[in-house]
Amino acid sequence: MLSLLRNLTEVTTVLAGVVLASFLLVYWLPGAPAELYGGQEASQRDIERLRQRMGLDQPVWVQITNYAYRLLGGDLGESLRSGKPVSQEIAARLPTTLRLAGLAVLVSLAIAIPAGLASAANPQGLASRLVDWASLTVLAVPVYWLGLILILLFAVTLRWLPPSGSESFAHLLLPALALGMHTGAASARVLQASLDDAMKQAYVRTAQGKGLTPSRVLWLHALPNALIPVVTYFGMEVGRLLGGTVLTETVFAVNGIGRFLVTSIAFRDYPAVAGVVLFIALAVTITNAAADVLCRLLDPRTRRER
Amino acid sequence: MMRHPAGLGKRHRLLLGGCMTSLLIATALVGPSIVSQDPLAIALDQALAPPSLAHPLGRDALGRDLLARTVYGARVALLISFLGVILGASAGIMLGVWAGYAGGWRESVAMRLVDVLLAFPGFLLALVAATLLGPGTINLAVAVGFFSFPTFARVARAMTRSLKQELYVTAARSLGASDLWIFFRHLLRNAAGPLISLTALRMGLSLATASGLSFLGLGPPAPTPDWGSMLDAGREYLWLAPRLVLAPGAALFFSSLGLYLLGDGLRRPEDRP
Repeated sequence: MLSLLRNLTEVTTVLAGVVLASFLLVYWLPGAPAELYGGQEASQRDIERLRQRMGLDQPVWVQITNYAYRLLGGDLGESLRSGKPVSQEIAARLPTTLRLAGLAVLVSLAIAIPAGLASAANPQGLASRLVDWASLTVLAVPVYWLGLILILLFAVTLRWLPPSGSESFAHLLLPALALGMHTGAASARVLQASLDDAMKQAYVRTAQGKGLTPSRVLWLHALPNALIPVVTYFGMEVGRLLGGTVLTETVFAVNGIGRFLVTSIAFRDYPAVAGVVLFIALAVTITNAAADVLCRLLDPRTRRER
Repeated sequence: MMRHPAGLGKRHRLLLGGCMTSLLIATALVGPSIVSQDPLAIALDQALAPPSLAHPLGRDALGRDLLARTVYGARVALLISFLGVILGASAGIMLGVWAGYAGGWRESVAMRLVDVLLAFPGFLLALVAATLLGPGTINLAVAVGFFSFPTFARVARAMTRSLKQELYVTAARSLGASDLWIFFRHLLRNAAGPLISLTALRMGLSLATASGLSFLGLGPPAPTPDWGSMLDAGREYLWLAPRLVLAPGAALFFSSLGLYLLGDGLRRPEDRP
């Protein structure tokens, strides 16, 4: 219980830091935001009025408090490009990104679990070596190049799937494959290592000694324990998945928050940039904490250790 | 902790990764003097010309030689990833070793700062940094440095904490050695092995990150031959001339894989990643 409390304070500190960082991003860097809002034709008086309206003439700590206060109500400011609230812009695109990330997680599980199991059955065998090489190779492929190769293969040459867009399930299949392959390869390695570790434990020997079949030992005794590090790993991967959507969505012209971030950068729409970045950082922090708690529920030993 | 099946030994990785990385370095150093074509020479009437004897990979949309551009691209790639990792590593190691050595509230403050940076996915951190700094080769390297900084800080701090308790550190301190001496002579030197392997690994990742940023238009300015921006320009011609995407991408993949294998091969079994 005490460790959970400590965790909570740690997470809160990080969240506060993340909010502060995003505040600095919109209001202090680069150049004065009022000049940006006003555009090139704005006169000195217009800019002065804008500064007043945006609260930029107030002391910094008042500005930060106001920013945090508005944030609590879900207000991320207004997009310079569309004039609409950034939170609305994100909310409109979030379902697409979530669908993409969810599909990518499915893809990676479909890669990682069979690969991990195949190599656990015989750690010195051919399958294990193959998984090892293949995962290392996939990890070195840049995610956007993988995306381009997939488009070339499945959309240009074979004409099985659409090359870009996000209208239907079929449109999201290639981006999910590109995005999930990395996580799949990385988590296959994690599962491989942790299964290898689990197979050496005393309870596996006991189970084998009882005369259980090898597959029973693997599925019912080793796998459940070996999956715990994979859960932690997936918690950490959420960040990489969301970061990866930036490139993947750009390559496949998927209209999610990643592409919104890239177009906002191109338009120097800093409130939108800060809003998306803040949103992703919050999501990452919260999922990491959740994965931590989940692991503690799954593995009673970690509860006592701390 | 990764455990490797016997079939793919550490020595194999080290050897293969070393060879691939050497080839990358050699290409960056002497490649441009071997390739006779100018990577910047525009020939609009020859746009998208297919491969020929003089231009083994053909020409791009502006009629520039694709092979020359890919070879010259190795320079930018190596420069940015190396500079980026060195910047991120030195800043991260300094902070991490200092925090681990100082302990107490200073350590807590430094590590919370690192935690805040780690809350942003690495690529996003570099993306934000690159946006704020604006495009350009050196700016891109600094942005990539941000990407590696928190990782190095964390690893260096963890290692310092465990090394600090070693007897030789206590002995040095009781002999009256200064903090700075202990820092460089004892802590940094004993942490060097794992940090070197991490550096190679991070260089591979930095290469992918840097080219990803220039793919998004945040890289070196326009005519510079750079794999990321070549990929961005080439994807419009995916139907007409896929080689525009295949050549720089393959170079990028080859280089990352080499650095990745090298970093993995350098890692001793007892080092944590």
